[in-house]
Amino acid sequence: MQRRWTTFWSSSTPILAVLATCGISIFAFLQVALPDLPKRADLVIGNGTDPGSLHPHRASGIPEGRVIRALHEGLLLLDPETLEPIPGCATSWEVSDEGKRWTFRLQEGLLWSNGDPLTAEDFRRSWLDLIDPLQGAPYGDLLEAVTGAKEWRNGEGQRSDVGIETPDSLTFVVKLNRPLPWLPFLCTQTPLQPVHIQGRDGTALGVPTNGPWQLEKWDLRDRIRLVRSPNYRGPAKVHMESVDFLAIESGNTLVNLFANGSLDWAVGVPPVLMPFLQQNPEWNQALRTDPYLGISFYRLNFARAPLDDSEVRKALSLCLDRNALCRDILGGNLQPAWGFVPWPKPALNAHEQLGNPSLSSALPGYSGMAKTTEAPVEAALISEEGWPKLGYDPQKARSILAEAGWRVPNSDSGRPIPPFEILHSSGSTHALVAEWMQSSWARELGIETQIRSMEWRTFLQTQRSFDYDISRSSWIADFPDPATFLELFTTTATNNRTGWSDTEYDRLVEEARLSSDPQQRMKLWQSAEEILLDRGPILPLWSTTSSNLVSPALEGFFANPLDQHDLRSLKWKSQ
Amino acid sequence: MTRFLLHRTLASLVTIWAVFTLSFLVIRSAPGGPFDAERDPPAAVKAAIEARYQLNQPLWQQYLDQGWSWITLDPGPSLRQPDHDVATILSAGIPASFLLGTLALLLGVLMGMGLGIIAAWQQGRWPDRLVTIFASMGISLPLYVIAGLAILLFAFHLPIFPPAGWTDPIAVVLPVLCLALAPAAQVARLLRSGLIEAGQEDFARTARSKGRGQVGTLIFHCLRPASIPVASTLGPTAAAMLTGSLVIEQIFAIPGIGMHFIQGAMNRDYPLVLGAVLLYTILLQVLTLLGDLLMGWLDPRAGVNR
Repeated sequence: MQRRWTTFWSSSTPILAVLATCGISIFAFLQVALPDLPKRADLVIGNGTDPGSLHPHRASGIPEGRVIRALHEGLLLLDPETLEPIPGCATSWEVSDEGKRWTFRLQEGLLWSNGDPLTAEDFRRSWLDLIDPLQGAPYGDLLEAVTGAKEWRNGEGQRSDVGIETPDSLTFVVKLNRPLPWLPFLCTQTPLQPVHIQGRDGTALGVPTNGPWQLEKWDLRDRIRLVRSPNYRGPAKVHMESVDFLAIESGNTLVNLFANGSLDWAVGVPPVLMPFLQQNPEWNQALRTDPYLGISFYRLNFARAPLDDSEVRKALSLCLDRNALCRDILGGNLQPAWGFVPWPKPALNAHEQLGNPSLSSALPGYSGMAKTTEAPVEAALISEEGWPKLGYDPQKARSILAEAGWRVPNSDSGRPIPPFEILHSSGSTHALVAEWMQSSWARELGIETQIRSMEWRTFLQTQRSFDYDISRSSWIADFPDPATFLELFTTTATNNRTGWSDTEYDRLVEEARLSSDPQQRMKLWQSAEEILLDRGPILPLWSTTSSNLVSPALEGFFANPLDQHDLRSLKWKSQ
Repeated sequence: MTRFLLHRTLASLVTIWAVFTLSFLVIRSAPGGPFDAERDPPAAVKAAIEARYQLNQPLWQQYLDQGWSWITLDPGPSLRQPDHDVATILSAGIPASFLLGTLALLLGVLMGMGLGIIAAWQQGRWPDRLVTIFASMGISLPLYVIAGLAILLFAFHLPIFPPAGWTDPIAVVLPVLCLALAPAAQVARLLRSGLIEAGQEDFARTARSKGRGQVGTLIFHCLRPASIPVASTLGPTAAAMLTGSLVIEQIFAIPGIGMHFIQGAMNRDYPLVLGAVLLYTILLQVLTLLGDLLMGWLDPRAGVNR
């Protein structure tokens, strides 16, 4: 008997040793690994990826922006419903000198979260640091219209030459070298938030902020918790004492956590789940999808045959039925793009189709902008009819190609169109769209194409080095004006990346940028878009749609084409 | 024994250095950089950012700097999350990954051993077939399918566990179960074949002839030699499980380190990738050594003690 147990022990000692080690480890880890169960915050947001940086100058992503705009308050805020710029740190602002001089008057008694006084000088230092080329802020060029800014960024000027002045501690003056009607809008955005002097070296942790909330903790890849700042004086009236931003990368997980009540607001819904959520009344009540100022398109490389031929480009575009793409391939929730500037057309149309009463305020970014220039723009200039459009007409595409001497299906004459390659970054939607384009062109024009998929940064590098024929692209508005899209394709634009150059287009864009007359500007943008669509290097496909799951018990969440929802306005219906 | 340990430590150091060098070269030769985005900043701005992180220096200089920074355990900030340094990012993720990995490994080994013994005991009968089916499924089913099914069943149809999250002890159960399936299947398969093989050896026959029952022979006589192949795979399996699982972390929103291996590389966050790779290599070396010691104990012929 004793021998039997000796054998047993000798056999199982390693197993028991492993068990004991694991048991001790589990006990230790449960103590360390699970954070203290935090009290549920008043508002819990599933915020997507863990933010890169919470420094207004270093952040570039949308999840970062949501947190930063809760931590900081710029000169102005956006009205949550109409998106019109409204007073933030500045109580009033005026524009003079044909739109080239802006004067902001600051609220008295502003404080940082640590109690330090906040003055116009803080704004001046922050804006100058944003422009400073050595600081390397990715969005510094938003302020290139400020006198002396562009020269400084190009290494030809210096900090003291930049036209930002503070005559006294409550007055902030910006001098521009051309009108910038969207400056009030920019004042509400992430890069232009004031940064405390402690944050000059680029750090964001432990640095005082000036918004309604302050950072309590940042558990990496888990949650960021904000709590009310005792020193915030308004003007916004805030209802939430604490806000949690959970870092949740997977769209399915966001939906799961929203379903079990762990989240009050989930940003982004996987497209594949949209039909299910829309058909289910309970989900549909929480689902908020809105047209968004972003465009998905393909760039065409002008150095590669046959894409250097404008007739081929036109024919390629005419064979793409964007309605079918959005309906059959993309799940029916996106707006087909028949032009490059997605706004105001898709926002306006979609809201009209939905019969949404907040339709007229679907143009808030624009009407707000028009208001600040004190000259509203005629409705015709911002309606769909006023803007040029692409079409879907495969028959016309074939005749264009035949007339230009290319061979088309069922014909033996003309030169054959050389095959080319469709390049996209990895992702199942991108692959589907590429295959759809490939089959459309093969069917309608008999063109042979290959598809190449690449990991994101390799793809970006390939596109930048012009090693592509046609390549997937997208662009999201930095501000609600056609300029944010149409400036992309001027000859000298850094982000052109197609090799396309058109002197007339460049001239129209430059004239629109310099014009201080809103009507005139809008007409010039329309003409520029017409050239871009007619001769340009792009194939617009669809305009983006934002999707959020928002608790129906939450008030103050308004549809808008920028997908920006100020937390200051959110409150519970019971509150 | 001391000589063996010394020899292994030296070999491990060389391996770690080789892995570091290779990883550095591979990640730095990948196209694109950490600050590339759809929106391209002006060249001067990009140059300023690169200078801030010394990315403008010659590659050999960066290699030496990176190497030294890891020797002094001061790897500097992450390129994607510059508010945090790499050591903080990794150490913030280690507790979650280690807890998840340890529990899953423990559960996996226990389940696997139990199933392996049952399968060997009932060889050729239905319990054996069931275990074989389970083992094949555990090895071949992708984690996202297992996790998706588990969430559907145990978070929504039978709402016992939360579908994700990492603050509640009960939230640990589902991810641990999902992650434990693969090692359980592997251990069950290995142990089953090991036990069957050992059961045909002379010593097992002798034990049976002395009146020891089938189960007794398996547990008291065959388990030790049959555990040798299990022990040999335990080191690498443990290292892989402790360094987290990208899929499980994503689906259950667990703040572990598994994500950094993939996302760090995708973001070209050079110091973070090197940190994650170094961590994995060191763990692998240590756990393989432990596995070898365990094997030496199980089978003195392995030569570890000599």
